[in-house]
Amino acid sequence: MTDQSQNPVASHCPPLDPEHELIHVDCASHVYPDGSIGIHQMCFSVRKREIVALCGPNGSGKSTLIEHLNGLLRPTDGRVWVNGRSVSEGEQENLWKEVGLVFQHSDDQLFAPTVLDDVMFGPLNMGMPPADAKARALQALATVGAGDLVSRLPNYLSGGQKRLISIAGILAMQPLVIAMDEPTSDLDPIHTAMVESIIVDLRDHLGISVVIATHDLDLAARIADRICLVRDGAVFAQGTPQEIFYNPDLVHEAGLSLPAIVRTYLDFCSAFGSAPADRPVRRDELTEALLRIGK
Amino acid sequence: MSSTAFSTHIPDLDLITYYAEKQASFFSKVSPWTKFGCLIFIVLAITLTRNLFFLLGMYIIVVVLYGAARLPLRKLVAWYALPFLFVLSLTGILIWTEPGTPLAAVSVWGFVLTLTDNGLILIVTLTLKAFISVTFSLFFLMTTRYRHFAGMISHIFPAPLDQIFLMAYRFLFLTLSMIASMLRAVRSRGGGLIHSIRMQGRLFAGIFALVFIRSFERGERVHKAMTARGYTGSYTSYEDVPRPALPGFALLIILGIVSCVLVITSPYRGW
Repeated sequence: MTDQSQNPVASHCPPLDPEHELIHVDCASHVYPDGSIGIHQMCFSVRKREIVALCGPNGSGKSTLIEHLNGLLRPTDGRVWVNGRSVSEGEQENLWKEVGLVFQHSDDQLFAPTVLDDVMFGPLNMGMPPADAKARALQALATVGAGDLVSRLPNYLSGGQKRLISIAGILAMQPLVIAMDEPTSDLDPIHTAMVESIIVDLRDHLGISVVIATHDLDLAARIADRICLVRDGAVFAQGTPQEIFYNPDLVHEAGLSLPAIVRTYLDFCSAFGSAPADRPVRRDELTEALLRIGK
Repeated sequence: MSSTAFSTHIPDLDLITYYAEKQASFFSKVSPWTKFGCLIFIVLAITLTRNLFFLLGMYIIVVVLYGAARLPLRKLVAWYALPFLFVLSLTGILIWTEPGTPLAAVSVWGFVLTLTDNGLILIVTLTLKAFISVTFSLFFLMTTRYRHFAGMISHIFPAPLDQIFLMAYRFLFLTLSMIASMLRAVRSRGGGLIHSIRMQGRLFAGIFALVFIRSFERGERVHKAMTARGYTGSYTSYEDVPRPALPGFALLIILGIVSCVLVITSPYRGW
């Protein structure tokens, strides 16, 4: 069911469920030093082995929320719980080991002279011996399909390759949750597909929960288990992709437009005068739904 | 792909890093301490001597080393432009005041400026000194991995000076990358470094200032990304800096003795 509060400012969040939730944001607010509001009474949670998409337009608070999950920012009000620990009460030491952040611009993340140095950076900071850190880095690079880039220089890589290395740098720390800010922005279709596949593999094969902040609803429709619509620093609606994307008013209220698959299906139903019986959000689902209409 | 190469005359830091990490030659395997010791000796020697032939010999040696390390000689020649301009700016006036055998004379606004053999030797000497130090510094940087470099800095400087040094070194990359982006944007609309400064000096100055502000902002983002991976103010190097091998020790001892001789016998005498 779509959980929608009519008032975008939620004053009461659901209680913490430590058994199933890895991250629980409880009415958290953040005001930047210049007085601008990053998030406002935000309620948000991430469960085990799930992909959550934070969808909203630019400036809606997605990136601010993501930085709270890793402890880079602390809420000025409210609480953030990560794996049962409160971030807000100063217990954020080593939080970066549990929640990894993949930044929107890979150039900001890759700073070391070689790919291997960069991917080893996190494991070394965790106190791992160099040999173990190297093994972990090589394994992470192999997982993202970038094993052949190990001795390359980040500055000479393409944008897609840099994104893969950024993900490997976080994956090497083996966190419980990986938060990615606009993971496929500026990528070509091939690298977009690679990143999508990696995100799904993280959940399915490594059991890592993934939070993606994006305004690309097509991406969210393809891979997310749960969609959270963000506006004015708060989650104002959440549900499965089918629940959210087949509610056009809700999507437009968030300042976004419907995913192409959903638009195509609704246009097709409208043109053929048939009621939208299915709710496809992926291409294979759309094909099946259109075939059913055709029959 | 990105590169900090926005002028052929300014050393491309990305290219320097590429050669440093590629480790293509014998010299890349030589202990960084040995190369560092040689660098100190060279700086000391060119500071103490004014002997043209000694300098010429040293220059030939460092260029041969540079070439033997399979480093790009053409680039090196282009990179000489800035040190040469620096030497010219220093000696532009001094060469006309050196006593010696007159070689040529120029009349400027009623004054006669005479270029002497010593004036010419002065400019050649200083140029050689600049080229020697630049060539060997590049040789050192382009044959030494960053992690070894970082390890050496950690040994030489106390914390947090070592971190400041290392981060400042990486910050250079960001700033040059920003300048390169800005110049690409300027060139894409018909501008150019000299052309734009001449035509729109004030605007260009503003843009240039913005580049530094943007570099700081980007530096903050890089720092944030490092913090997100556990950086707490200490860059962890995962490899010890290789110690000099026996021949390296022997070379350093010889250079140390030669340095002592240079200091004792020739300070300020210009042998």
